[in-house]
Amino acid sequence: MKKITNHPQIQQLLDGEQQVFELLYNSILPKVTAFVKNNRGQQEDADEVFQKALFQLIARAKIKGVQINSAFEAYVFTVCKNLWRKELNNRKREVRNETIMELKGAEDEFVTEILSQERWELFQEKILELSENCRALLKDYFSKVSYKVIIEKFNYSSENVAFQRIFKCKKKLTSLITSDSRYKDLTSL
Amino acid sequence: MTDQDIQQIDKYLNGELSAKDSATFELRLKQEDNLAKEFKLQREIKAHFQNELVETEHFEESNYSKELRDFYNTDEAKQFKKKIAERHHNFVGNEKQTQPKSRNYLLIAAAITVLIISTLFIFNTQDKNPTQLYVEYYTAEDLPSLVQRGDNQDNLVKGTIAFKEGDFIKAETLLKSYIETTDSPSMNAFLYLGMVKAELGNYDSAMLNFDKVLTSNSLDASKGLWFKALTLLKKADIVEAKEVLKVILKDENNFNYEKAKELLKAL
Repeated sequence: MKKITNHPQIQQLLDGEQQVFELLYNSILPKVTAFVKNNRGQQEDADEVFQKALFQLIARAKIKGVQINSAFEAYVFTVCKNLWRKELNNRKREVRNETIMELKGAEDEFVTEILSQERWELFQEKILELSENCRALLKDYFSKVSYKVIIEKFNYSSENVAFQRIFKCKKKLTSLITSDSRYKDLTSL
Repeated sequence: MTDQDIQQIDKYLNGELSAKDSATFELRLKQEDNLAKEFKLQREIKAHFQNELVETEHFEESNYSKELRDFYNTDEAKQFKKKIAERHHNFVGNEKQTQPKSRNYLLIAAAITVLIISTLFIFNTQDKNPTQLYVEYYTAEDLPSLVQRGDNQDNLVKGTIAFKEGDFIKAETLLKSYIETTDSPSMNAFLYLGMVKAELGNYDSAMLNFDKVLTSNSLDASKGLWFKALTLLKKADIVEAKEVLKVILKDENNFNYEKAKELLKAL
């Protein structure tokens, strides 16, 4: 597998450099802790999520490299947020007892978490590849902005025109996602 | 997959189908693999835009997932895990020993940070450590946005973009190249290069660049002071940071005079 060049701070993480750990612990962990605590979690949860995120980044960097398109801090924060959302989903499912819970080993969990994160990043990247107009339109559409407002904002002549445009943008996004070569490695069952 | 199917998926996700149509659609989902796949994808796209995470529980096994599994079971991976746990213990543990109240004030700081983000007001920031203050007071908006006005500025503009995208190494190369190849380089280049150096942890070099801004005839020369103060905060050098902030307060026309006042109070 072709290895993507690592971000300098990812490299520092691999090398165990003090400098990057200071950044992580002084400026990123407090944000992660605040996020977790504001979303039904405890300090211990934040600690766990944070360590998982670091391990995940190291593993990905080792295997095929990590490409970061934002600031390092923002990126690590996103990884942590997604790990915590995933954990909350797991807990919800346990409470609802909707499905028969499989006892997942730590290895399976690790693999699923990485693939989920990479899938999330692929979606994010493809959304950014859309035209600005499409992106703004889909954002409004999924935020449940009414067609009436959308028509005015985007200067469409009718509801039908807006509907067609949204449909086209969604189709474009779907095709961007599914035609990316990484998608086959990140396909859900 | 027909357009009609995709529209049907949309209607189902938006709760716009009648009970009868919903039941029919759910039955189809169970029977038609392609439809189920498309449905999952559309649901995930919707969740992504809504800042939620629809979880994919099962992934198809691929070469990549196998590589991940293999790595997980190596001694190297176990070592990394151990080292992370040790570092975590060191950082979080030391904090407990040296700052007994840190847990409480971290909580308060976290709550305050959320308030600040949501209201854009600055609250009393007492009891925060320098790095937290740095995160709070540093905003890329204080750095000028540059537009290209000629070919020789190409690397400068590209450098600032790379900086904003977090690619500091690339930013450093581009900004340096601009400075070296331009007769009287814009002071903004030194400002950005200073922040690049600070982000890369090269504080001394960051300071030298800010000094260049400071001693220039540029109207924005006092920005050099502000970014010096921030860099010192990032470096956790409170004594020096205070000194620089005091210099800013000597002249009301200096950049971020009011913010400097607040920050000095918080320190």
